Amino acid sequence: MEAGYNLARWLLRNDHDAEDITQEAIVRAFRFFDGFSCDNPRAWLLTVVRNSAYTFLQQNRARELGTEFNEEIHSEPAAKGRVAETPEVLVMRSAEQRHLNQAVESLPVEFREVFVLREMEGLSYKEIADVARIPMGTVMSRLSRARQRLQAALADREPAGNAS
Amino acid sequence: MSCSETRRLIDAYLDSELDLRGALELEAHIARCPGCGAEEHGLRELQASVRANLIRYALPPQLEARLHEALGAEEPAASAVSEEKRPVAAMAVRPMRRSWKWAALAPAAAAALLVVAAPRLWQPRSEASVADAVIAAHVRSLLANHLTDVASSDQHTVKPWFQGKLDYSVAVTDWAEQGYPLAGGRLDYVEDTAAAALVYRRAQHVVNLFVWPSKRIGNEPLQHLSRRGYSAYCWAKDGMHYWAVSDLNEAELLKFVELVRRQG
Repeated sequence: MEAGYNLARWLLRNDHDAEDITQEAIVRAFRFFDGFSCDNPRAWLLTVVRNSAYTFLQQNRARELGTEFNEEIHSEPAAKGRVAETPEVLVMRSAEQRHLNQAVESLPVEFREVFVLREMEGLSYKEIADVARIPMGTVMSRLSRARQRLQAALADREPAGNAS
Repeated sequence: MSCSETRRLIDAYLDSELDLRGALELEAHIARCPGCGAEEHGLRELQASVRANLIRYALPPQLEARLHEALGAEEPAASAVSEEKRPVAAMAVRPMRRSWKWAALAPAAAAALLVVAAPRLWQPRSEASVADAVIAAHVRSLLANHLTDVASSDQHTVKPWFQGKLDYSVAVTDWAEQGYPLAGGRLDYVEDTAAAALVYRRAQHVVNLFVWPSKRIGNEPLQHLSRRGYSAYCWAKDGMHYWAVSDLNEAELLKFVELVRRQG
């Protein structure tokens, strides 16, 4: 359940929407829960959360979707005020941590979901392919591009000549 | 392996999703190519940083309360709520705690979960790790485009190919007429044992049939399990282990398994 909220929070990038979507998804998930046809309840819950989040984005923030063709939108980080409200952000330990989290937030949502499912939830490529309804080859290429972007974003922020 | 091939597969390698041969070739390449070596090093650093620093958002207490109300269950333990408040670093996966939360919020769902999970608890540990190894081998074969070492639908080509590579003989049959055409064979490894992998197709799906000699004497009954979205059947017969793995639905995979079990 915590994994579901974490995914919603990363996809929607603010607390309020993430709470609403998680609640909606979990209630729906329990209503249709069928233990006998579902051998991976965790992946399945993540699928329901993911689909609810996408529906919400389509209805309210369509601009954030389909960014494979319009990627410059995401070069701007999420609105500052929104990010600063959360208690998690206040206790961020270091500049490195802050930069990294901002860089992940700035990824296009298609890359962000694959990245979060892999690095935070430890899902296999096959499970990610099922959750996001994309081929496994696409999982691999999106992960690869997400990592390249993060490396580039982090390299930009490091002061030149500060090799350690 | 070339630099461009290495760059294409390096993420799968880091995520342990590459087949054994691909992983060995990639390791050999990065050992002698400074550019690709630096790439691998950089990606590993990124991965370590992400796992240490990415925020895991905890379930907010007010959401927990709302869920509670919506699902009409009992109060969860107060300690669980306060503990959830602090941010937790990525990858801190706590399956025990999570399953307790399911239990607190929806007893019926938790019961169903137990029904699903319980058969796995009864499996001997070694069986479970063999299952993981076999399914991993199946996944790797799909990902790196290394499905077959010998691509042929002719059983008289595939069978002799294995001779000389394995110190045991494998029965190879083409089940095209029954809807499972043979696509070829591959040498694979399951837990350090060389195994024959026979590759069959069913529409868009691939079935890997792994065969290797059993250390135990005697036959073992057919078992089914599913994991990570794949279905698998295993059994032992005449001193050989058999594992059929696929993303096919259970019924179609079982039909295939019955064909194999009926042969000689």
